[in-house]
Amino acid sequence: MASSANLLPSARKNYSSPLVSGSLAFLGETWQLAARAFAFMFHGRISARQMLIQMSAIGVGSLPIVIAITFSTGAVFAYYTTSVFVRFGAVNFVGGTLTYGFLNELGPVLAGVAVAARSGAAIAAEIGSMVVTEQVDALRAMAVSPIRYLVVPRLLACILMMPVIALFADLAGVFGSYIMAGAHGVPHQAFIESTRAFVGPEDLVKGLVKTLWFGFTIALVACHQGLRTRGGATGVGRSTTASVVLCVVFIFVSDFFLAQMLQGGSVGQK
Amino acid sequence: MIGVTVERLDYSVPEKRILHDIDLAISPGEIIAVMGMSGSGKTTLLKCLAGLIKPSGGRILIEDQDIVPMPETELDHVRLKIGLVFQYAALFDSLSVYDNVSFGIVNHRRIARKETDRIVRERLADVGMEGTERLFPSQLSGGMQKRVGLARALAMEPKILLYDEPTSGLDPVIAKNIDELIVSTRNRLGMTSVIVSHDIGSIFRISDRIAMIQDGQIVEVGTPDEMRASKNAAVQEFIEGL
Repeated sequence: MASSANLLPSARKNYSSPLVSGSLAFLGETWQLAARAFAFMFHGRISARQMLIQMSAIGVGSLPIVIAITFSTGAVFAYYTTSVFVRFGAVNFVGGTLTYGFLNELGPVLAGVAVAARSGAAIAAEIGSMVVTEQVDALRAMAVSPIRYLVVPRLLACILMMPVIALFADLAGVFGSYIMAGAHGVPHQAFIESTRAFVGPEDLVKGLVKTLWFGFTIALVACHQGLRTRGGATGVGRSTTASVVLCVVFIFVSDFFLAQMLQGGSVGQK
Repeated sequence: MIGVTVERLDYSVPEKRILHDIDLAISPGEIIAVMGMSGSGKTTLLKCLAGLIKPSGGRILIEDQDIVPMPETELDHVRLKIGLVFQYAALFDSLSVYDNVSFGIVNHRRIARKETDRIVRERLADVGMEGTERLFPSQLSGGMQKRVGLARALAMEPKILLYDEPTSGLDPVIAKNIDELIVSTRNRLGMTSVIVSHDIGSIFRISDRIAMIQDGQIVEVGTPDEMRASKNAAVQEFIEGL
């Protein structure tokens, strides 16, 4: 019998509860988990070794997949955009449009989705496996809080590494756009001039600020799903799937609100 | 030495009452075995004693402190006096044998690395696992994992040691070694031991007293001789059925 349910303040007893009460319970549990994790952080009870391990796993481990995804998306995005812009003689707008879109939106969101799919799933699966093999109970039996030992390092590592990953995503995406736009008739100099004219450092910063929230969301949801795993290998699979689905939904939904907040009605105004 | 007193302990989940009015007094330094069929509530009782499951009612007194109403942070102080040996060892699979055995020490004691090395070496020697410090749990057999699990529990020098099915799934030779280890550990360190098992041979070999649990209730408690002579049908059926 896995007894790590005690870690989660008001663990739901089953999945068949009505949608509203289930959602409220989920929100309550995740926020209480976050509050307890932050309490450990503020008391300085952080395992530096664990955090470095997680930063490496989340950051370095995610980079190749993030770069591959964003480079390809940048190139495809440029392929469609360039053909329209060239037809209407708006070659000088291609670089600015693509880079603006990537820094503000596509880079952070694609990086978030890639990290949720790769690292979020890994976090949920690892913690879920530890729950069903009683390793989480073993931590508690040795008076070591699983929130301090498992959740805090992953939460901090994800928050800290997401902007770094997103920066690489931005660079790879813009580079993909640049290459593809050049191949379809946009002079490289025109691409760069257009970017300089339409995009400023604040666009990069706004995009990276969003990823702090994405990192927090991914780690929190993945840890929560891992800790509430029940039922052996099937349960681990269910938690992993739920973690990825919830993280991706939360990234897109929260991105809508973050975009409104951060842009403050100044879209496209340098 | 520390004793444990359990009074009117209840544990229920929405669909089922798992433990029901459990009363049990365990003397300091005693080895008591809790035997019963699979699903009778043995492991749940053990996890209640370790503070891993919050009972629905009743009291568990350890050094005259009732651990049932304690919050997690307070429970941690009590848990430092309790060692738990899990049925499937529950070793941390991302850590080496050394890191597993030293885990509690590293997290709770500020002692020099040399001293930690010594304790790990000695505890591994106690369970016949010398020289395995650098191995990972995936490189060990089930029996070896159980012995490392016991070394991990012993490293913190607990006053109470809880064993969940210590000999299940082991060959008779290793099972006998584990039995001898439980007794010698108690004789050497004087700790109170609670063993949950359905291995009748092992239970009668090493226990000072035996409690029979059936459908979440303790139906009989006595010395091995008293249990053999018991008129309780459940006890006789369990002993003879194996």
